[in-house]
Amino acid sequence: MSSSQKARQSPVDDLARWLDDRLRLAEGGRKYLHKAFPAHWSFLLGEIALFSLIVLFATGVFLALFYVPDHRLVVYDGPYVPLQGQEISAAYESTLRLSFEVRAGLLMRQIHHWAALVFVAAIVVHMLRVFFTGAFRRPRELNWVIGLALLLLAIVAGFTGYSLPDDLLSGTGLRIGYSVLLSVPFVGPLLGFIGLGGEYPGTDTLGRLYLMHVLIIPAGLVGLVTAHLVILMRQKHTQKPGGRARQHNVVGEPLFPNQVMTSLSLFAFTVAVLALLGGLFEINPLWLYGPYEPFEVFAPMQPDWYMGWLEGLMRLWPAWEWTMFGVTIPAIFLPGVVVPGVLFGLAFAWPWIDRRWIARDEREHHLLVRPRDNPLRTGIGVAGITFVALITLAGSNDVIASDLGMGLQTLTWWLRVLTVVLPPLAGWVAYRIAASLGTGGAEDADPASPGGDDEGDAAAPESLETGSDSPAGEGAARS
Amino acid sequence: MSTDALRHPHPLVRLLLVGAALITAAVALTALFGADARAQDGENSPEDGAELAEDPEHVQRGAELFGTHCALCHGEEGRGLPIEGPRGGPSLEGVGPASVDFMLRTGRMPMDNAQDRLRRHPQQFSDEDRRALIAYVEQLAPGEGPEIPDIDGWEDADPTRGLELFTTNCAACHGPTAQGVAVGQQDISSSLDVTEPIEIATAVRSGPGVMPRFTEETLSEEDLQAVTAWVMDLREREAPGGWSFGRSGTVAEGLIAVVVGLGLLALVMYLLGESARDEDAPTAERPDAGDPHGQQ
Repeated sequence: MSSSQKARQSPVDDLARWLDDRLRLAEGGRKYLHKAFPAHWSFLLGEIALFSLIVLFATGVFLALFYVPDHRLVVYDGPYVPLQGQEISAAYESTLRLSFEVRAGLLMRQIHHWAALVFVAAIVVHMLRVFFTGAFRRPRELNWVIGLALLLLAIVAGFTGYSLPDDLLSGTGLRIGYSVLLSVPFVGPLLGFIGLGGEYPGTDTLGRLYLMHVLIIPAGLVGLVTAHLVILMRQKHTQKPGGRARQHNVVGEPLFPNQVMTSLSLFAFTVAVLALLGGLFEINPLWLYGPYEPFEVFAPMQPDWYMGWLEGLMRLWPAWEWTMFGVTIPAIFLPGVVVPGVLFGLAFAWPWIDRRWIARDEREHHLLVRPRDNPLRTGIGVAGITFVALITLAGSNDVIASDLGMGLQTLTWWLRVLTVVLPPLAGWVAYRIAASLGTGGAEDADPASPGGDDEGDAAAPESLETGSDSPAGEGAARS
Repeated sequence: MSTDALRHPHPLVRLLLVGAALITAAVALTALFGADARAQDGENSPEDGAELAEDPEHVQRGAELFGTHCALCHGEEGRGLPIEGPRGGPSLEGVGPASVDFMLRTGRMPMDNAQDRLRRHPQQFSDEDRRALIAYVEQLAPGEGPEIPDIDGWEDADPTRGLELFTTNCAACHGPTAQGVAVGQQDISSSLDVTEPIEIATAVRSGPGVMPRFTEETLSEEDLQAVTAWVMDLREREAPGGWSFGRSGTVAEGLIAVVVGLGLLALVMYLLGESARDEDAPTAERPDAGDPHGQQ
């Protein structure tokens, strides 16, 4: 077919050839395009978080075009009648303009807010998947730590974000955050000064929050997500035992076309669901709340859901205050700083706690376990979930009390007792259930490979290629 | 239906399942957070307790009604029964026409057990009987309690001023959207969703339960009308952002994000993952565990 060879190639081919000549894309392309991805659906949780983050960046850029981080007072004369003529901050005014005057502004604001809620939720569920299947074990401790740092950053991103509009709800949240900062002994006032630019409410607060929200935190998120993914690529996925999955291989769908199609679909669906939420469900109708005034407050007043556990801790904690050596430890310091610090500290240290005391296992693991395979870890995890769920509920104790027709103090006392009693109980029940289900020998069947050469040689290397003559699969270069 | 069909449902079945899940979630959320939509119609003609108290006919009728319906707890001549238990009602001397009108009009009185929480019920008396009771209670201590305010013309009051006043004085307990919430062991602030304008006004003046009393010195008649105008406006105000699920705030938003948002995505994920599962999936070798030069 000499005629077809001489026929002019399409511009796409030209471009591909041009790029390949310069960047030598084909060399690595095959390797990466055939990278194996696990097919089980629970491995897609992290992708939802990633795609929500992309939606957050896209909508966030749109919002930044119109938002003004300025405390200066202006007289509102926009289309929202109940606030006309009121003196409000330029920040609040710009958010109202965004909501009522900018075309699709409200939609963007709502998608951004919903995406933030889903983003953190996806991170948390992803983390639970990793925890209960033991995917954090050696060699993946680093990615566990990075993931937790991402969760922390996501929470701070959310807080700085919903504090920007300067309405009564966000302003009161900031007031609480500022008080928590101030409660740190010795350095509290300094922290508050740096974080919010002086006493709150001041004139520099929104500028600092804005800088954190649109520059520092996103930079951290991008950096850590990149590290998370690069490490994942380098270490490769964990996988469910069973089938042909072994400690020394990676079974899954090739990146192209299978996983690309799956991920693209999931991306499209993530955008669709977030747009659905943003288009159909009202979120944070801040025009009803009015501008922030330090002497005003309303109830029920809750933060976004991922801050609920902090709110709940502060609502549950007794008002203990000490003065030691002339330094007063305010009541808010323990529930606002120490307990959350301990919780996150334990979570960060978990891979090492686990290998030292729980699994007593320093080997490398690429095969996952079922929650029942390690009853102790499962029990501790369930206890942790129960505790965090209870303190999150406590964050909305007034709403729950009125829904149940229960006394607010009665409910609070119940929650105090339950946060102490229920987590160990739930953990013990989970432990017993897991233990009674038995491992089925899965833990033992999981072959560690400190020097896995023999294992690897024993198994016939299977190539990922379907139509290629060179055995350039993932692990082809290993021996 | 074979087991295979159960494991791999028809796409249409899947779609139906998704739809059913969505509708269930919507219904559940409405049940949890939806506004109570039983609006009540009632005339709200301004009344004057002091005038009524001077009318012997009304007082006479009021005394009869009081003896039948109220005296058991509130005692003879409305002096109250200072006892613990289900029959211990407070003294009504000097509560004022606004208070009596509010309690009777909203069906909070008469109640079965004095220890219960005050709750809204349908009015138990006719309008004429209510006036009679107002007359009777008012003549026990004339002019000592707040009078029924005249809020005629609240429709023309300034809702902007109302919003400001509401945020300053009312939102702390009733919430920015007037949904009501637990504000103490015994007390749940009322939802103002079904409240009549005159009820808002009499409640503000008389301060039922733990609610403070706002006299004309703190809240002028004009201010009261503005607050009334804002509450009524708030109730009718449409939600530009979509379904507002009863305007119940952040708690509901979090639930929706997790249940609807992540729930839908989990479903998508499940279907995607499942459909991608393939027993003959190609395999790759993993680089040696300790080999720092493994590929990628």
